[in-house]
Amino acid sequence: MHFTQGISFPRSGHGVVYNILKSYFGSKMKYCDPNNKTNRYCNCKKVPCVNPNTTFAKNHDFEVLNGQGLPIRENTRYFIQYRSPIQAIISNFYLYQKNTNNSGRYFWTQFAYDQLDYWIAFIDKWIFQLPNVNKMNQTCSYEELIADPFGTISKIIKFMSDEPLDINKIRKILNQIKVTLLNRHNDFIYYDEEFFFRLEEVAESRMRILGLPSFKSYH
Amino acid sequence: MEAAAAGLPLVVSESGGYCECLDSDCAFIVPPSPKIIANSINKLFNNYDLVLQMGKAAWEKVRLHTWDNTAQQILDFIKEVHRKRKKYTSTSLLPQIGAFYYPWYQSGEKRRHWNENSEYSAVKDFPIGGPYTSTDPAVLSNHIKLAVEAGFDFLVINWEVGHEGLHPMDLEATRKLFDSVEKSSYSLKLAIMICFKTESFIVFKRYMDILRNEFIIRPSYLKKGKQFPVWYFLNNAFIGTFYRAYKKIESLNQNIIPIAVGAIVYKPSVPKHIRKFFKGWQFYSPLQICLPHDWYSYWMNNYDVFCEHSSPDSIKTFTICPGYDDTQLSNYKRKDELFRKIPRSGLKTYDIMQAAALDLNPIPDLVVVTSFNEFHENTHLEPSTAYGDMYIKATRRFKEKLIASANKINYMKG
Repeated sequence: MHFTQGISFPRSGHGVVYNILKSYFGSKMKYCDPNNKTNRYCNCKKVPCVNPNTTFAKNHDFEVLNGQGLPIRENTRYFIQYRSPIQAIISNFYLYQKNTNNSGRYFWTQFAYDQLDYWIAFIDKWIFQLPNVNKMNQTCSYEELIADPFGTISKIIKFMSDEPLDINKIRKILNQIKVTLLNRHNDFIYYDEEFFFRLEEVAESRMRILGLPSFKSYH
Repeated sequence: MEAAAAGLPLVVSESGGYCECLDSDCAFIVPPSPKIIANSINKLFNNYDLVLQMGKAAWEKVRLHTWDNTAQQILDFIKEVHRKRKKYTSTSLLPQIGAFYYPWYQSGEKRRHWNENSEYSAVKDFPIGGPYTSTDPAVLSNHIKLAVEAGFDFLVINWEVGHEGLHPMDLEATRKLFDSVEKSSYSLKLAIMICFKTESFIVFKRYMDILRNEFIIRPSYLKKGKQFPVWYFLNNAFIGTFYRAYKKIESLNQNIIPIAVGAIVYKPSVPKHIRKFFKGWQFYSPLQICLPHDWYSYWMNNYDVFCEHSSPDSIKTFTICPGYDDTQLSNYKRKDELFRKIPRSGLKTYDIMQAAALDLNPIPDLVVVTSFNEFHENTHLEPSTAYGDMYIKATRRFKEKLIASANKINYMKG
């Protein structure tokens, strides 16, 4: 298994992919999660991970917007996860509410705008610019993962390891760990058709500019 | 919880309620996979120090979940709900929305407020169609139409009254605006905001008489119950006059609902006479009050404290604004002002302010937008070369949301 630096936009399915990969690779998976205290192999909070045995590391590149983000390294293997911003932002807002006790439309609106700026900077850097500097990268959108869990997971495993793919094992794991769509935005307490439409348009126009497929194409 | 209370470490699945009361200090929170669960148990089985450490953390975590503490939390929650219900009972029916309106523009050779000087009349953006004259009937008709399109129930006409009184053209524009509204088929209402820049009571009385004898009696003047809202800009000149002639000013405000507007935060330490006199209290330029990080607490605190401490006949008002930028004005008084530029960032700033208005509890009686056409401070909603009509449309959508939200709350009240 090659060391792979995971870079994910928050709530883009990193947790579920990690669980699947952990089940697949077993003890070969040595995971570094800067946010986790005890459950993981390493939480050094450094990029790259200081532990030479680490095989998979997580980072959200939170500082990407203010220019203090992670450098893109030529020789690092990157696994990038992103998602349609609205779904990701809603999902992340639940966490934000829980951590800050800030609830209400005001905080939602401010949060949504700030996160959209973060999302744009993240996509520009890790989806658009990355391939110009680094050739060892694999991207995966949450929408792609939901639409085709088997194909997407197979692709990720092939990227992370040179060993032959164990298709049966993947099928077995996917029977145990379900990859399902959470947080349908119409149920969201602050759902506002017009506001969501505007956020979606910003994201879609960004995807068009970057020549990437529309999120709607997965529906 | 029982296991944690017994000082034991835990292995729990990451779905369900476990995550709400446990964390990774005291539990292995794992996917529901037999192999992973077995691994976690194995880790504990082989490491007694870890068992002790996590068991202690588990006990620390749940020891506060006593019957007494839980009962207290429920009681606090019930009290909070009751407090909110009490606030609801003083709520009005549906909120109305308006905008501060400026009647001071003149185009042509004798132009006023269109870049004739850099001190106080510089503008960066222009209305679509270019500079206009506020007394022009075609301009007034267009403004009325736009105000209705934006969903406004009323406009608050700003009178700037200096030592020499109000500029005659502003008075003429006010009269013509009332005439135009009354000739139109729209139900738009008008009201007056007076910004006194003099401490002369004679001047004060002259314009209060004009207001009372000429405008308040007009059918298009905004009414709340049997009274008429008038906004007073709360500056040093007003406060000076107010303290010298409190009784006289009070008698000039019979049948009037005086609403304070300015930059002063309402709090119980505001002098009693001022608190007693004003029946409404709002910021004129809420984006300039404090750092963006503190906006919400200042706005909400001002509103909440006023609702809590004002008399039952008071009206609840709130201000929203699309952005602010007066950096092109060279007036020395503005130089030391903080927060002279709060960008609109498209609709971001306006959306955030609207969201704050939608969060208000109780529902406001009046939401006023700063401004319909204050081009010097770039707070204008009027369609312009820089922004087109996006703020007119955004205001219309806000009005719809505000009414829908009020209807929902009124329905909940029964």
